[in-house]
Amino acid sequence: MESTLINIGFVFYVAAVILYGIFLFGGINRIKRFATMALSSGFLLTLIAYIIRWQEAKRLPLSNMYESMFLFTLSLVFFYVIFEFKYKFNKIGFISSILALLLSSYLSFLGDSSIEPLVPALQSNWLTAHVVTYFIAYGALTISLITAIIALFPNPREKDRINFSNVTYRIISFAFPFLMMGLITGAVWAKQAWGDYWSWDPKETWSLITLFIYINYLHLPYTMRSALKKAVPNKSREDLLINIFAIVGYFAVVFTYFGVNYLLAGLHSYTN
Amino acid sequence: MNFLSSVKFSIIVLLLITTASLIGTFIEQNKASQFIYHSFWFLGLIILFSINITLCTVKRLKNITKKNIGFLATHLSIIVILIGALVSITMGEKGSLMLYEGHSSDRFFLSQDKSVPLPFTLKLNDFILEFYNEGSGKLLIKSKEEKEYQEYPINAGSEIDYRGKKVKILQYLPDFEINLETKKATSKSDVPNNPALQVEVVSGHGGNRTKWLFAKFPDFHGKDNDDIEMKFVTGGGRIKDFKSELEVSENGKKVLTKTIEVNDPLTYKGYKIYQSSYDDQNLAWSGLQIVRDPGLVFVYIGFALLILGVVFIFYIKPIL
Repeated sequence: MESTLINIGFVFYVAAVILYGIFLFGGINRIKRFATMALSSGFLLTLIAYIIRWQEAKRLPLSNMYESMFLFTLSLVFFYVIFEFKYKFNKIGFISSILALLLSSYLSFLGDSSIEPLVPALQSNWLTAHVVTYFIAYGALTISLITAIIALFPNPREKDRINFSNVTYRIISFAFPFLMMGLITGAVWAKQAWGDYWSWDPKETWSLITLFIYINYLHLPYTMRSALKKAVPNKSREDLLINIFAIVGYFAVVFTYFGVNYLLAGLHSYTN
Repeated sequence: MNFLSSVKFSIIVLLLITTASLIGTFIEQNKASQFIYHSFWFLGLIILFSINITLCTVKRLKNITKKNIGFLATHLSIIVILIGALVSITMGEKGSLMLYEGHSSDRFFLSQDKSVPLPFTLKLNDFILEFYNEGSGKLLIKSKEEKEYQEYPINAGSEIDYRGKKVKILQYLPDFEINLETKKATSKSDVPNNPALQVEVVSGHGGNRTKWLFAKFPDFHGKDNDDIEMKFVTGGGRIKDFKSELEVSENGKKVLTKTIEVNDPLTYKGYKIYQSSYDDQNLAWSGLQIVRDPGLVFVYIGFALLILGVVFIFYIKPIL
């Protein structure tokens, strides 16, 4: 049942990519709402599949790469839909549904969907708080990556209505406390599990690096006079620097999530 | 002085700390700790960072307004966390202890050769290892004429019907041995060193035959004139839990017993005892991590203040 729903969800994500693509490249406005419907349907099916897995596993699914990717898909699509609704801007639907599609193909075809029992170290309530806060942050930050990239390119028509540097800042501001809480719950859990809230292991260190980059990002406008403000409609060098920080921050997110597991070794490598 | 308390400086210091931390993740962890994270220059960067944060915070402390309170909470909390970490490092103790079942100790080891006393005696009453049942494996059955084995899950007491022949699963022992006194089959330990399955084949000609199948010795089946062949295959035997039943005593009197496991340590007189590892060959000893951390309360207060601060700045202040 779970895999059937995931596969149907996959089909809806394909439809979303096509429909958003037609809207973006063909300029056909009327198709916008069908694209959103396709994406939202994909989301609902993925969500139901997740709940079914939750029931079968008798615990919230977040203990390995498969389940975290599952959560990441839900988070990403959720925050995209909220963004689209709030800013009435559909053009980044194309790239967002492509990302959703990529994640969904992993869930459908590449990932190992077997439900495994928890190893002793993961048998803790902190697992839920730690993983959920991080994936809420990651989903929202993915949208900020897209808006930061758009902010780098001149596009006068849209920029009159939406200041993408500003939107990026607001999204990252939203995600930041979750990033912080993810780190703190991780530290408190680590203390509970092996007596140390910080041991400079690669995963921990990279999550701190990610946090530092976003802390710097959030502080940058305080060192600049015109950054983020609508009063400076053209791409200023200050905005350029800020958006580059946002993009680098996202690279750190990706490295923390995947890079550490596959390229480095440490205490966290069992979460594969 | 103004520069030291500026945001620009904080960004620069943070970037330096970030870069150093980053480099550390690409080298082997012990070397990374030695040459980077616990080095003097890294500590220097942290001190610069602390100075910067302290100066910024003190400057704004003179003016506690609704606008400032989030800033004060977040930045003060970092100072508190750093102080807590300093107290932990300078005044805390962290070490390990390997205890054999039935043995006690009133000391623990900070390193290979340095041991320090405990204000109590710790005894390991029992070490327990639990497995998930689902991992106990599969029974493969085929008749002599067939090429391929049929797979069946193993549930003690269940009966399998293989083409009219009935095979009943009697019991599973993870570490089979014949007890020399009682001449009965028992399990030497909980570790699946010699997984064995006892089955009963209901013979159509009257008389049932009971036999033992060994996962590690699939060809050992003794006299076998059944027309079916069977194999017992183990499927992983995933570990569910490992726990230590500990007893704390002072001056010969038992003060406390607790069974600890990962994520559930024992706390007594400021010491916390964690289940860290165990002897995976013979289950003879349990590996404990022992920590005394007087700075922890500051770090946790700092964490709480930090969370409150960010929640205020990013979620509450915008709607005030």
